[in-house]
Amino acid sequence: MAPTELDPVLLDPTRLSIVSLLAGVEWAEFAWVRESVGASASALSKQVTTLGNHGYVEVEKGYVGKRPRTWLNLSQAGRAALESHVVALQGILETSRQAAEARQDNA
Amino acid sequence: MTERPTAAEAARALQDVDERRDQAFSSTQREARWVSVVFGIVIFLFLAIPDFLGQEAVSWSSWAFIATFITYGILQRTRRGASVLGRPTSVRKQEFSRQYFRNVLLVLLVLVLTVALAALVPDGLTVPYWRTGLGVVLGGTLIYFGPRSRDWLFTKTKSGRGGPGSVAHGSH
Repeated sequence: MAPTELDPVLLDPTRLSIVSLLAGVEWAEFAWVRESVGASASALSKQVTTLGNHGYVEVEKGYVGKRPRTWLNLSQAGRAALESHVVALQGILETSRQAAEARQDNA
Repeated sequence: MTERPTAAEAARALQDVDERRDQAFSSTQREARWVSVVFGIVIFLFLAIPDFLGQEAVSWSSWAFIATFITYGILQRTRRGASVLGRPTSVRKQEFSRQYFRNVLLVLLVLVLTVALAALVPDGLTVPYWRTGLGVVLGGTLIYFGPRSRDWLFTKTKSGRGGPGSVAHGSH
């Protein structure tokens, strides 16, 4: 992917939120991500599956005592995709700013 | 969001990325209340034990004290251990500023030095059970102010974050 290309997977706001949350952590519990994003467990599970299918998010399941836990972490590919996507978004803002300045100069 | 976001949509998305990164960083503040209580009790016991069992008890109680800290350190670094401690995430080292590490180190150094000095001072001081008293003060302070000190460290270091490790710090 070119460095300034928008990632179609991350154009979805919920998926972008999940990846942004995970970008700051080594791993996070599924319940914490659900609470932070404000999505239902099934909705989050669906988005995590999509991100997992693209190799952006890795899932680990286990138990703490008798309680089941799911941990999520961002893969290297996911981190690279987010960085690239952010650069592309910044590019859109920069283009818009330059266009506004050009309009002001012409006026 | 459409295939090609407008400038306003891009700005909102970038703001969301930054907010989520801050949200992830603020998860460092989360830990079960019982952890502070256990550490408060451990410090109290470590200081009070020589008053009741004599100076020779310092050697084995020191090992127990060190073992508690090592166990805590190990638990923090594993997913299951962190869950036990009530920590839902492990924040990346790159997210912390140098100031944060300096502050944590300073707090730990002061705590360890105070406890070590109190434990090593020989008997014969005029105030009876002074170590027990100090244990109550230090342990109580940790139980009461433990969670607040994490909040303080977080607030003090939040502004120092960002830089090359932060993906969303750009021209927006």
